Amino acid sequence: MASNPNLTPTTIRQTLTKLAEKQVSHVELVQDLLTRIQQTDADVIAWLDVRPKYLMELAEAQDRRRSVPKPPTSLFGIPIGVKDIIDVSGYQTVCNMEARENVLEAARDADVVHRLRGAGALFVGKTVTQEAAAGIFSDPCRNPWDTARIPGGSSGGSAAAVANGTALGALGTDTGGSIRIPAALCGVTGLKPTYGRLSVNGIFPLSPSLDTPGPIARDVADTMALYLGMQGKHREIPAMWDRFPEEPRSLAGKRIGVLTSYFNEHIQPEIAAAQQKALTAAESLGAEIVECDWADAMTARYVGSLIQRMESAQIHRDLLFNQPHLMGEQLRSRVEVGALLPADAWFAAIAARDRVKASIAALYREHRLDAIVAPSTPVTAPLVGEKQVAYADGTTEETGLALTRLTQPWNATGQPIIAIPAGVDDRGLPIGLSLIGRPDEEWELADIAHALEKSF
Amino acid sequence: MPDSLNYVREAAKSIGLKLPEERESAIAEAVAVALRQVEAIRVDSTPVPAPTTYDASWSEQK
Repeated sequence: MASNPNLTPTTIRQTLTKLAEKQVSHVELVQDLLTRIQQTDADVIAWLDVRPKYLMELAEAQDRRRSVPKPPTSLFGIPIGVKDIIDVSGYQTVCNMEARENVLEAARDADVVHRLRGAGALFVGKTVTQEAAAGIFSDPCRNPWDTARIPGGSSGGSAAAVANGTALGALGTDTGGSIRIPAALCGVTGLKPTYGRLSVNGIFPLSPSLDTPGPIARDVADTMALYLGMQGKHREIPAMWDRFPEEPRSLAGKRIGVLTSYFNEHIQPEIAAAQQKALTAAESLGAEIVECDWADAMTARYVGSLIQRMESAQIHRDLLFNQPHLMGEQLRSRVEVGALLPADAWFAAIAARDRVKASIAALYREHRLDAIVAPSTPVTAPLVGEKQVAYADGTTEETGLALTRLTQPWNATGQPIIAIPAGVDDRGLPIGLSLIGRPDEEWELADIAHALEKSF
Repeated sequence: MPDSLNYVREAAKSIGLKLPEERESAIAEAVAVALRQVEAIRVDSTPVPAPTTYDASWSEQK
């Protein structure tokens, strides 16, 4: 068992300052990163296809560019990892699928990559994901905090790379929790934007009516900078940093909901305590805490699960019918179940999705909520191969079901969510909390998340 | 669960999907779980009554 988290991380914001003030060169930055990959990635296995010579050439060119008296772009030279279901020109997009092992290199970037490239980001390589992005293990990637444990998934490689300091930021996608779960288990920050907010062009689909790309980084400010970059709004990044000062801003006038029942049942005690600590911090910053309940949470979870199964069955239909031997056991079972459900299950799920969206909107409206706080996962990182997780009351839950239990309902509603680190448990493993906002209000949510991240 | 096993066999046959015999019962069990979820999300079994119109506004109108 190895432990490789980078406990003295440098953020994107700090790195941009160091580069601008010539405290560090692009070559030194990339050299450090490559050394760290060499030192840690045999244990963590977050990366695929890292090309050291090519990266060093790019860094040298960036150092030469620095000598031109014209301000560089807002993320110039910032090293980013890209989940291997997202196209990067010149790289294969294998999706951890045997059937795609010999796929041609992508001829063009996915939209979100193209936009970040325009901001000056440096793409370090592709990061490990679960087969077809369908699951929470991201094998063979391991958790940098304890390599006997899983990093979560399916954006596990992206979160692990940020956690062990081999990338300053990374791109992930979230269909049932695939940004938030690894962010929580690896102790980093992740944003699942409102469904439809970011382009999915050039991203291998899992469930098109749920798939949402988003950034993973060390803190809220870095995450939001990448979010702007992914939207093609990189010119707004320099002014954005002031929105996130060192000292947390007041939360006076904000109303933060905490959900009883579903979101607080079967939770590891340290995670419940971290949530309480966040609520106390929010209150001390002037927010009003509102206890409420969402009776449709379980329905929303089922809706997310059923839609995902049925849509992914369509995506992988040809593979299932013609080359099932190329599918892993987990993906194959998921696709088979989706394919065998009756057509009216689809219509039931779509109708129920409208109802749960209306019911969560009513909850926000009734209680005048700006955000809801909930644990990202009910437990910290499980061991590799741990099929069941156990709770204090002696009950157990299948690991995959446990880790998606608190994330999947929000994919059905499509709301924006920021997952932030919230300390560690008794074993030193990261705890994650989620802030769930109103659709299209990522920035209001980021303000609250930024205030709370300072309390841990 | 003979019913779900029969359902899975029939459904697979109707779409031309070959299911290896050794996988049939595991798939039948997973399909049975999914079908129970479908029943649970139908209108009359959810805690929220079926609305005649949806109000999907997130805050009060001002």
